[in-house]
Amino acid sequence: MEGQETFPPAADATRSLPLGASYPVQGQIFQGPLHLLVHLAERQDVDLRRIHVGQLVDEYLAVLRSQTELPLTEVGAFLALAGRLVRLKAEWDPQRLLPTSEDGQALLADLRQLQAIHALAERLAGRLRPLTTRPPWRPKPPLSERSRRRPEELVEAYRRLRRRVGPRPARLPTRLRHPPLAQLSAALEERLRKEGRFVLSLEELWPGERGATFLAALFLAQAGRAALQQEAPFAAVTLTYRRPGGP
Amino acid sequence: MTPLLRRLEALLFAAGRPLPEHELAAALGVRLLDLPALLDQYRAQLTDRGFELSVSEAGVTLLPAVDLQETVARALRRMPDRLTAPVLEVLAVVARYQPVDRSTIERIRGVRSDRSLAVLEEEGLIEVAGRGEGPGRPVLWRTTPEFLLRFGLKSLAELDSLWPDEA
Repeated sequence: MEGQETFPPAADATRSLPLGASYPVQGQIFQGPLHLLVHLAERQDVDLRRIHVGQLVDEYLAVLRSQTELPLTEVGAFLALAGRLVRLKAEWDPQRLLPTSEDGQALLADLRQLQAIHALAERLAGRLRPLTTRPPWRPKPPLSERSRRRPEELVEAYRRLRRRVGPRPARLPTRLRHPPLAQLSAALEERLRKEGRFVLSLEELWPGERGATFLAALFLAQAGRAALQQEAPFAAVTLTYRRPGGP
Repeated sequence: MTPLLRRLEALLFAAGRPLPEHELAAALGVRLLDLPALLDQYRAQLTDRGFELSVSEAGVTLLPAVDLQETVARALRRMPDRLTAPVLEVLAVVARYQPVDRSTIERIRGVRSDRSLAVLEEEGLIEVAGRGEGPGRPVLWRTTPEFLLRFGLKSLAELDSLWPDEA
């Protein structure tokens, strides 16, 4: 192809894997689609700065086609990347070595980043020492462990806490500052029945408890015994009586 | 060995954890400025011994000599078999981009990483560094002083020398 002659791929990129070759795509080896793609690129010795997009896409799709035992939960991620790659290949300009689209460049940046992380992890593995300091220096149990307690352990922990801090205090009696809402609504309805209509004063029913009067009015409106009207925000609220069964 | 060096050795032996340099200097009654020379004197006496002096940002401690690490670990059944390649990969991401949240790690790797993070936390190699500002205020992770000891690093700045040049 003309494109390939004009822009030959990097040194060993032509040494491609046979299409349809079988690869062990398993959790232990390839944790995800990006890992597989990086592996394919590394296996070809492809420099990700001089990537041969078309070939890499073909190989990724070939590997994916050959996999029949991918768990369903993983297939979506692999297919999503496949779709991205196919679009990338379709947009790829053979006169240019690297993809020019924003998504293509973002994907390449992701691959380069993961490749560098692989290299760092390998170098760290080479320096890993099995031992550090002697006991009793132990790491704290992880948060996830601490939150994975069984119910009986939680109950026992609660009992220990109770023993430590003493018995649970008796519940404080609840004291309403105003009569119950039903009683306030009945008083409001009584006045409405007599007067038919009046402007509501928010301290009508219980001095200092504006909320109680307003709630009682809402309660009446909800029960269909009164209509509330307000001309503007913060303006006075007018209550009109509605006879039971009336309009 | 001078009385001061003997005291230094006893302190490091008994501490069982890396001692910060200021703490060590105070315990020995020496100036912080004089501590490096003292540690050098002690290190010079440790040739052909079964342990070595480790001085890093984690602190000053005694560790089994590098060539004996595997032998001792096998005898004590403390092989780091939990640090598999994926776990080390997550550790590399945390080390490089710390403090970092789980979603960033998973975006870089393209796969879920919660189990690897749990293993690393259990091993004492990472710890919670606070919470991010993003949606849900995600937990941020960073490496611990134990990380420096386990990988023989003097400081986090040394990680730059392990990062590939071309990246």
